Order: sequence, then C-alpha cells, then structure tokens
Amino acid sequence: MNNPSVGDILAKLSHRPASEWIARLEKVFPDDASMRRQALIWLHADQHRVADESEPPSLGGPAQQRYELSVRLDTGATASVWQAFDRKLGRNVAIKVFHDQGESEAMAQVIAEAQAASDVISDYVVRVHDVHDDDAHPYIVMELVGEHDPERGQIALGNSAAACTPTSLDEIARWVMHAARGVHDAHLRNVFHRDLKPQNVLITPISRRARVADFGLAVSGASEQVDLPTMTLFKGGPDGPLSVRGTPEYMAPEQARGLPPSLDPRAASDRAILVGVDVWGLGAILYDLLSGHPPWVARSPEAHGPWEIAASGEAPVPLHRTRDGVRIPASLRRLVDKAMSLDPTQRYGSAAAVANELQAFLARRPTSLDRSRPFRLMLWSRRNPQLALTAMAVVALALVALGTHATVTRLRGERNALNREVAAQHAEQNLLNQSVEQTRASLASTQQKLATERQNLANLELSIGEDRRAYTALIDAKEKALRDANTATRQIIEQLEAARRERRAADQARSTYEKLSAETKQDAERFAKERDRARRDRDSARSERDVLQRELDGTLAELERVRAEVKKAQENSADVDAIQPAAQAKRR
Amino acid sequence: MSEPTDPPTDEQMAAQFERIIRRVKHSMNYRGSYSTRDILGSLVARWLQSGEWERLKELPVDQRHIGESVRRFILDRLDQLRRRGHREELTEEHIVMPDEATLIEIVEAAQLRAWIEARIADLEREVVDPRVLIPLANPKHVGQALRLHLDGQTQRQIAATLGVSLGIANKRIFEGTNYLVVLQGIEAGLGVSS
Repeated sequence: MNNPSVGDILAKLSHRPASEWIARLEKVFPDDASMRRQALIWLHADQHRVADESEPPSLGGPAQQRYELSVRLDTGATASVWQAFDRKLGRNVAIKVFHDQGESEAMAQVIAEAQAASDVISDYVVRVHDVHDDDAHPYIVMELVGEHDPERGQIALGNSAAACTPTSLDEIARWVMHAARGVHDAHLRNVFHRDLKPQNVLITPISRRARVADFGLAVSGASEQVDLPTMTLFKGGPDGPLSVRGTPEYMAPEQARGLPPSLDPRAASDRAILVGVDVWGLGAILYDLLSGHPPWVARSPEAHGPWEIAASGEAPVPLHRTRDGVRIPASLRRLVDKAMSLDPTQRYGSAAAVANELQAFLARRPTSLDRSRPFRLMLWSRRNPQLALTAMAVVALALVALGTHATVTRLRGERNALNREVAAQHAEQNLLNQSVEQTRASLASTQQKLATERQNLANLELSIGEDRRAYTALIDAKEKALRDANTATRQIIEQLEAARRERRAADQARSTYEKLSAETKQDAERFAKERDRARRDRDSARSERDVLQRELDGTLAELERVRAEVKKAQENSADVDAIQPAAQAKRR
Repeated sequence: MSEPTDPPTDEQMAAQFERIIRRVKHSMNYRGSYSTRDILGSLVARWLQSGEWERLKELPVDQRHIGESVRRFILDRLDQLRRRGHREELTEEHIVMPDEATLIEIVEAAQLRAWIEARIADLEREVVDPRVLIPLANPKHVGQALRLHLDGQTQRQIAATLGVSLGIANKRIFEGTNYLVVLQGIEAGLGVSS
C-alpha cells in the first residue's frame, strides 16, 4: 500500500488495450499474484468509469453524426443527461441517454416519457424534440434549459430548483406558479407528471423562470399504459393490485399507499386522483423551497423512512419560518396546507387554481383562502397605494373637520358655564366684604380688652417674682441641712461596717481555735491508745523474755550436766586405752 | 471429496469482474424516483438492520420463509405508525410479497448497499482495508465524496460542497468506486491469490 508507483502504473495501463493488461501486469508485479488480480479488477472498473462518465456515450447511427455530445449535465439511476449540439439545426439541446439497453419495459418507458412530454406545449415545460429507442443507447432529445449570457458570451445552463437559492419568498412563489402553469398545461393534454419535486423543476439562469422536466413517471392518455407493475406491495381493491411510483420524500399519502396502475386520465374519477397527486406535488415543492426540506423526512437512520411516514397518513410538520428564519406569510402557509391536504378532495381542484392563488399572492391580492376583511383591506392598500393614500387623506380631513366642530361646540359650552360661575363669585364676594367690616369692628373692641388684660398680667408677674425669691432661699437652707444629715449618716454606716468586719474576724478565729482543739483532743486520745497498746506489748515481751530466760537456764544446766558426763566418759576411755595393749600382749 | 476445478480463464475472470463492477455501481446509483421494488428494497434494508435475516440464516433454507418475515416486519412498522397517526388499518391480506427468489435478490442488493455504506463510513474515518494493495490517497475525502454521491448530489454539487474542482471531485468518486469494486472482488475471493 505504500508503493506510490502503483497508481502511475495503473494510470498508464488504463490507456492500453485490455488484452495487454495481464501480460504487462505479470511483468510489473511478477511475484505478487494478489496485486495482479486487484490491479486487473481496478483496470476493469476504470474502464467502466471511462465509458460511463468521461466520454459521451455513442448514440449510434446517423444520430452520432447529427448530435455532438459535450458536457454531462446530470446522472441518475436510469439515465444521464448530456449537453449536445444539433449540427443539423444548429442549436444546443439536452440529450437524456438511458443506461439500460434492450429491456422491453425500459424501452417502453423511454417511449412513454417522450410521448408524454412531447404532447405538452407549454412555456413552462421542457420540450421534447425527438426520441430514439432502437439502438444501443435509447435517448430523448430535449430542449436545453439555458440562456445566452451576454457578459460571458456563452450559454449559461439552468439548474434544478433544488440546487438554486431563491432570493425571496416572491421568487419561490413565482417558480411554483410557473411549475403549476406547466403542470396544468400538461393536464390539459391528459398528461400527469406524478413525480413533482424541486429536482424536476429547472430554473433558467438569467430570467429565473421555472420549467417542469422529467416526465419519466407520467401517465398519458395518448400513450399506451406501460407501468403495469412487475411487482406490487399492496393488493388493492377490485381494480387489482396497487403500484407505488414516485419519490418517497414528496409522495402524496394516497400515492404512497399505492394507486391502481391502470388509471385512465380520460375517466373523470381517475383524472381527479391524478390531478390530486400533482396538486400535492406542487404543494410539496412549495413546502420544500420554503422550509429547506421535503415534507417527509426520516428523523434518524433507524426511524421510519419517508415512504412509511407518507403512507401512514401523518400530516407534514406545519410551516412557520423559512430556512433563513423569515416568517412565512399566512397566505402562503394556508396555500401549502390546502394543496397538501391529506384528503385529496380538500385540495385545489386543479393545478391552474394553485397557479392563480400564487399569482394572487404575488400581486398582493387576497387568495381564495384569505377571508379576513382587514387582511383584504391591507392587501388592497398594497396594490393601490395612491388610492389608499388619497382615501386615507380624505378620511383624515373628515376626521379633522369633525374634530374641530366638536371642539368649538364644547368650548362654547364651557365659556357659558364660566360666565355663570363668575357672576356667582361676584355675589359671594359682596357678602364676604360685609362680613369683613363686621369682623374688623369686633377686632378693635377685642384689642382694647386685651390691653387691659396685659396690664393685669404684668402686675401678677411682679408679685410672682417676689414669692419665687423667698421660696428659693428656703429651699437652699433645707438642702444644706439635708447634706449635713447625709454626711453624718455615711460616717455611722462606715463605723458600723468596721465593727461588722471585726466581729466576722473574731468569729473566724474562734471557729479555727475550736477546730484545732478538737483535732488536738483526738490526737491525744489516739496517742493514749497507742501508748497502752505499747505497754501491753512491752509486758508481753517481758513475760516472754522471762520464759526464755528460764528455758535458757534449764538448757545451761543440762549443758553442764552433759559436759560432766562427757568428761567422765573421756576419763573412762583413757583407762581403756591403757588396758588394751596389755590385753593384746596377753593374747599373743 | 469435490473434484479439483480448473482455474478460470481470462474471459471468465473478466466476466466475474464485470458482474461485480455492475453490481457495485448499480448499488451506488441514487434512486430519486422509487418504484414498488425500490420501496420494498428500502424496507428490506431496514429488515436487515433488525437482525431478522441473521436469525433466519441459521435455519434450513426450507424453513426460512423470508417473505413471511418481511411481511410481518412491514406490518409491524406500519402498525407503529398507525398508533401514532391516523392511517387506516392495514391487514396482513393487504400486503403482497414477491416470490422467494426475487426477495432474495432484493435482500442481497440491500446487503450490498449496507456493505457499501459501511465501507464508506470506514473511509470517512480514514480506515482503509489492509487487504487492498492498491494505494488510496486521501481516503477521508474519497469517503465524503462517495457519501454525497450516494445521497444523490451531482458531481458539480459535490465539488462545491467539498471545495474542490470538478475534476478532483470526479477523481475521488472514481477512485472510491474502484476501491469498493476491488474490495468486493476480494470478498468474492477474486482479489487475493490462493
């Protein structure tokens, strides 16, 4: 894996004929059979890549001469779309080249798609110019959705609505309106798309107009029915098994649960079903472009998939704001809700109705769902700003005139009321003047009385001053006597306190003496007892000593007696010793 | 004891390579519009995730009854949604299963798709299978490009998302596809010498 030259070797070999690969690989990797095998697989895969992706496929026959394929625009599961130049007519076209070859069902599908699309003449549908189904690669020649770019001097290619970024809510509404017009034009030719989604709506690069493309799943009244189900999932009703076709993320609920494959666009009941599916699809496109995601989305890899949710009858998550956080107008939300009603009978009756509603929205006119009078009035004002301004000015002037009249009337009434009030206040003032005169006279007599009373008061104050001085002297004398008494009392108290302290000391000494006396007495008694006991011990020892003395005396006497006996025995022994030699001699 | 078989001729080997390449490339195609078979394929993929197929593989072939198992699985899942939503009840009789051989084809396709997604996840984590001897440059980028390719993005969109030129985006997808084909060849016993 670390050999950097392997890639170069394979790159060189890929340009050699396949017949040389094995021999050359044996030369390059002589000892590594595994590497040779893997390199061979790689080269085969690379050959497919070159055939599928880089080089335009061969259309075969005269078409190869007529069409010059240049740029691959897109690749899907069944086909690739290439930009091509039609040498015969001198124009650019798009050619959808199918991968599968020779399968009858696939070929029939190609024809059906081409017939369905070519039968529709509309400014909002991608036109089909030609179809070719009897050679190596079946293909459909279509109008190239592109515009001449004067700035770059070349053709600018369109892109799907899913890949374009709308600049405003109005642009989204305009795209879906165009798509609805195209779908309606198709319906008029009994062609029903059944696979409407942003990827199948192409936007022109400069004029930003929308066109419906890819009628691969369309049902057409003009063509033979080709999508008889080779496989079915639901048994269906009396009309036989049901077929599920479409893109799960955008499917109408009834489409997800399966539709009879033999729907006839010319029969009224079948037509209503097919219109309902396409109206849902338009609502789903609007939903996706507004919210940034399709109506049915799996919440996680393990959760229920889009088809399961679509078939379950759940309602899509309600719209509130765009992916950029812009509040979605109520008109558009109501429009989406109606187009994507779970009950097909509650949806718009035709794609044209959807287009008209969007046109009304774009023209700031009320849609059929906008019933509120204030809202309608607001929309009318937006549409007719000058009229609205004039009307507002007239109403404002009338309101000002009415207001002025009402104000004048009110002011007059207020003036009359004020005049009446002034007269009443004059009369009241006269009464008050009379009252003031009377009060002044009364005040003069009162002042005179007051002067007399002041004189009496001064006299009274003089006598009170004398009395106050006498009382002050008396109080001073009494206070001095009181102080002297207090001093004497304090001295007596101090003497008394000293006597008390002395008595407490005497009491304490006496109690100490008594305590010591008691302790001394107890000690004396204890010493007397110990003395008596010592005396008794002494007497006892004396008697014992006497006994021992007597015993000692006895013993000493005995000892003397023994000594005497021993001495006597010794004397006897000496006698024996003297006799013994004589005895021996005698014996001999 | 089986008789020894002759080694495959170059043509036979090339034919085997072709089959593997077609199967891998077909599984990597983005299915924008679904047919009933595609719907059934997506349900079978979920059925595989449930581990039911691993359990059935333990049984003898005549006792597996894949169709019945898938039918029960679909009904159970739809029943879960019915309890959550307002769908009218689907009974067992409403669901039609294809014959066992077709169903096994669908199961194998779903297995291959799951295998591809797992290997792409490996590449995104910069895990390259050591059995592949051909060097793969920048596996993480290759994994990211393949993931976007599986999600149905065009090569122009992939280039824009990864911030690379259109040529580099194409190269990443081709190298990644070739890597998966080689690995699938190894799984089939063709990529290693016996």
